[in-house]
Amino acid sequence: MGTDFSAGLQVSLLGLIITFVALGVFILIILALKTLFPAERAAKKSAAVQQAALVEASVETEDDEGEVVAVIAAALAYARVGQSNRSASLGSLLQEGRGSWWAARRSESSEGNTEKR
Amino acid sequence: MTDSVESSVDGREALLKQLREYREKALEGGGKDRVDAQHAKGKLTARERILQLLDEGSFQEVDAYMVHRQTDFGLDKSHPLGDGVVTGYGKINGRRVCIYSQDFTVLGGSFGEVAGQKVCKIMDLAMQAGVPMIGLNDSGGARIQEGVHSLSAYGEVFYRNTLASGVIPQISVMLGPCAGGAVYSPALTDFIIMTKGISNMFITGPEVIKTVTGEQVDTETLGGAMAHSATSGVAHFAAENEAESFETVRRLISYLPSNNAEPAPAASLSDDPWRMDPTLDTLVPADPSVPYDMRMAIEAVFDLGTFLEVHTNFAQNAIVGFARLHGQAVGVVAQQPLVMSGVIDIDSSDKIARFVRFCDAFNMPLITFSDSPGFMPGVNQEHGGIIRHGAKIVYAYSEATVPKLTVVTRKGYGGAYIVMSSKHIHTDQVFAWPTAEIAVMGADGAVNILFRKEIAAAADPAAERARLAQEFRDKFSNPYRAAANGYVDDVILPSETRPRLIAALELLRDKQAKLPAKKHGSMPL
Repeated sequence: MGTDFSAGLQVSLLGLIITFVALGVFILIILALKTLFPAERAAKKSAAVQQAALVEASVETEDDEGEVVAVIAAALAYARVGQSNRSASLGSLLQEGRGSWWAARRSESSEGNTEKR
Repeated sequence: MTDSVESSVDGREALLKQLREYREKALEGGGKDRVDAQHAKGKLTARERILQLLDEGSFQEVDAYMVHRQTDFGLDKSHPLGDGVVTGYGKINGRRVCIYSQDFTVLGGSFGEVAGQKVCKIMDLAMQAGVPMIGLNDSGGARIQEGVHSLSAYGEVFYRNTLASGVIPQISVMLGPCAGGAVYSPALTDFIIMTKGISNMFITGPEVIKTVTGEQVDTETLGGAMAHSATSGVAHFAAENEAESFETVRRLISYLPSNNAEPAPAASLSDDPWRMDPTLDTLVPADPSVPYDMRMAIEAVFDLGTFLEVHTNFAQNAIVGFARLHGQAVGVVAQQPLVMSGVIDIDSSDKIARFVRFCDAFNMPLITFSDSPGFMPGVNQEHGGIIRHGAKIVYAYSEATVPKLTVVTRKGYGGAYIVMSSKHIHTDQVFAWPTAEIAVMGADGAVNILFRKEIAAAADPAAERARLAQEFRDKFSNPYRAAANGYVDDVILPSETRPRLIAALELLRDKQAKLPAKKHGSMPL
């Protein structure tokens, strides 16, 4: 019973030691990395990345708005071009009544009819 | 001296008094009892009708004091002023018209020698003045007591109706009975408006028909407003009541010139000439066997709300009517794919031909929407004379010298395509929608004739027929082959139809075309 207990205790202790040693190794690695790559540069880099992301985002937003504006402008331009092809005087002569050509030929034909009679 | 002045004043007063009395008597018509009886039937009197139809205060009466000269059969005992007809002139929407109105309260509105003279006088005035003539008919017919004098009166009116035809527009409003030979006066006029429930027209009445043929029929079924507006085509409009009849006259007049020397009146602008309705681009179904409503095309192309259909209930496979295009009054002719696929039959031939001739007589440009699958087949049609009747369409279009514009919307097959104002009979401008199919006949019929042997010899005749039909469609079922030969002036988007028609109409505003000199043609009547 006593032997089993001490053996279990040893195994647990060994496991703990191994775990903490591994953690210590990780800490050392991290510290080494921190030494190799100081915190300011990382912060600067991070800031730069954030800034770049922001710029990128704003550029994307600007691009979207630009696209909308461009589409509206193109539509307006198209409409304007279309309008410019639409003569404002379409059909205006219909409102003026018949012209002299019609009147002249009408009087000719009515004279002809009178002569026939 | 004073005495003579006083007697002169008294004499003048007496004369004025006498005139006032005459006027009051003339206004009485057939007397209070008969006027009440007329009102009890839901009908207005002759004068009330005139006052309701014409612009307020514009009516000027003529011949109010004429009386008959007959003495037989008790006529010597009664000499009603005006002799049963009120005649005169006035204005409708500010435009001059001449008018007569038969007075049913006076001797049943019977038509005698003097009534005939009054009507003839006002018709002569209308022709000399060049203004439309409107007749309000409510008469028991010829005045039997006057014998041949009454018949002579009718004859004189018919003669003038004929002379006035094509010179001034003539409109008949039926507001009561009109039987026997009397029907020929309205029949000779340009438009007949019948009023439901109170008007009827027939040559021989139900009693005579029963005696002669044994057929039993009531007056309304025989010659009522619907019978003539839907079945016989004698009436152009069927109005619900007198007020609607008068409103129809007022609207009709707004499209018509006063005479054949004037252009059709233009109205103030109410629509954008460049309006392009996108629904037109999808109006014609892709499947040629699926119908569509041509009325939708008409409503979308012409100035909004201006289309006045004529003969609405008669031969509904064709549509005719007046509309405005950028304010200009035009005549519209179309086929209606919703009814019998828009084929041309005897009735629609008559309907189209008559309308085309009216428009040509009165300088109204013609705009035709053609979807022409063919003439109506059948023994009844052939034996009824579809050849002769169909020929009227091509005759009417060919002799018309007004601006003629055509839009081919879908089918343009064979002779039915030719007669519907095609380029081949000298239509000024022909447009086609991309859905147009201009060919001698439809693809299925054509391959059955052209490739009968090949189809019969094929391993799978149905598949071979379908293949050949498709090949035929690819080649002919489009407007481009006709356009390539100049038989179609342009293929246009359906939505472009309105501005294109306005531009063409504007170009042809002063069009003058001369026909060979002749007394008159010999139309296949």
